Amino acid sequence: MKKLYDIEEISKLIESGEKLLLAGDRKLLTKLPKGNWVAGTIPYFVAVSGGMFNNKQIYADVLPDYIENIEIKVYDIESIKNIHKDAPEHGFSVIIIPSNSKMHSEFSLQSVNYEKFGYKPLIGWLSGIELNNSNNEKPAVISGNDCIIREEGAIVMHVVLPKDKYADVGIINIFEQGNGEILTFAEDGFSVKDVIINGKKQNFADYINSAKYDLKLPLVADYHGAMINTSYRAIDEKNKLIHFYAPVFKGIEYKQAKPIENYSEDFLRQLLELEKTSRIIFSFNCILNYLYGNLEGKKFGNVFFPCTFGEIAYQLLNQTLVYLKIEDL
Amino acid sequence: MVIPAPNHRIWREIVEGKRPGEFTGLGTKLFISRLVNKVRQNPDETVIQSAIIDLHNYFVEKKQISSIINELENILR
Repeated sequence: MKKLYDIEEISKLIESGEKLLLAGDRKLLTKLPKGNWVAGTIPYFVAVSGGMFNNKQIYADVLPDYIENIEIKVYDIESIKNIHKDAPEHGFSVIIIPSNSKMHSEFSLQSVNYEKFGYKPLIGWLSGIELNNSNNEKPAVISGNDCIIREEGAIVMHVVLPKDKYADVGIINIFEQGNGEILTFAEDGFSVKDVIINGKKQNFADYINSAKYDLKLPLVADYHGAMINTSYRAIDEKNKLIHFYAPVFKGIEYKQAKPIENYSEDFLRQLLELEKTSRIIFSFNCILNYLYGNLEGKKFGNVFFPCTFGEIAYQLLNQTLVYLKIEDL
Repeated sequence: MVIPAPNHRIWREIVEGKRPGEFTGLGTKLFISRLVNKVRQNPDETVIQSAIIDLHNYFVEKKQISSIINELENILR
């Protein structure tokens, strides 16, 4: 199954009216004609030949022909709270947000409070850049409606399905909660100073150092049976702060993840299991899985994905593969 | 299946976190978790009632999705 295309090939797909989810280098995406597509910047993918860095081609998911209608919308900080109200009664929505943008913060912290959160399938990702970025490029998103590069805001494709089908968003998370202490935090946020353990507040950086946490392993919270990760971004030893790639939330109980024996094999095993029972239409995987799991050159059956700076399955996730499948009603 | 009325005990049990892991859909799990967390942080009766109404509305809107409704039916048995 082809996933990486040259500009000319993508342009032909666009001009033929195909509905597309695109990912690639900014310089390529800005050359595309208007059409039924949304895009984000990222140069890391797992395609037919395996995991790779590629800034010469565009990754494309072509949506199925049976899709009845799409609507592409641009949201700002004020309007994003309406995303679920705007979503079709019968369908799904795909959102792309530039990482490190104000929208990234807003969505990460507030999406669980938006009206109708969890009602309608929402899947998406945070756009990114080349990791050794020396030209100060910022992550961006583009709507095929106007082809404007945006470093703020969010692009959403709302997709209407026929009445005999429904969409389901799922995740593959290879991490489980470990056997250590339950950790809670006093406030929501991307950065914390203190953690609460057994009712006592203590500095989290000191605790991490004394407990010798492996920071490639995320914090894991149990959301009614769904294991949801929060990945470490950095320790600020001078100010004794811990920074994360997604926010921690007050009241949620976290545990450090159990160590993983073989990162890429665990992913492959779960992906192959999923493929046996589900038709995955598209998926997105975390860049941290690409890096920590050494996915470069590795293949994952017939599942392909961009490796993103964050992934969204109703809310922002870390170190997770998110996927959408479409089933018959 | 007729969705139980908001005063059925099952809704309170769910929002109070007494029925963990009963649903398999990710959206349903995350939705319920949000309500459980709200109630856990503030177990005031008005907060519980508001969570129950939200939860009941969620299942009424989802009544076309047989997998979700089947799971609710299983819990009620």
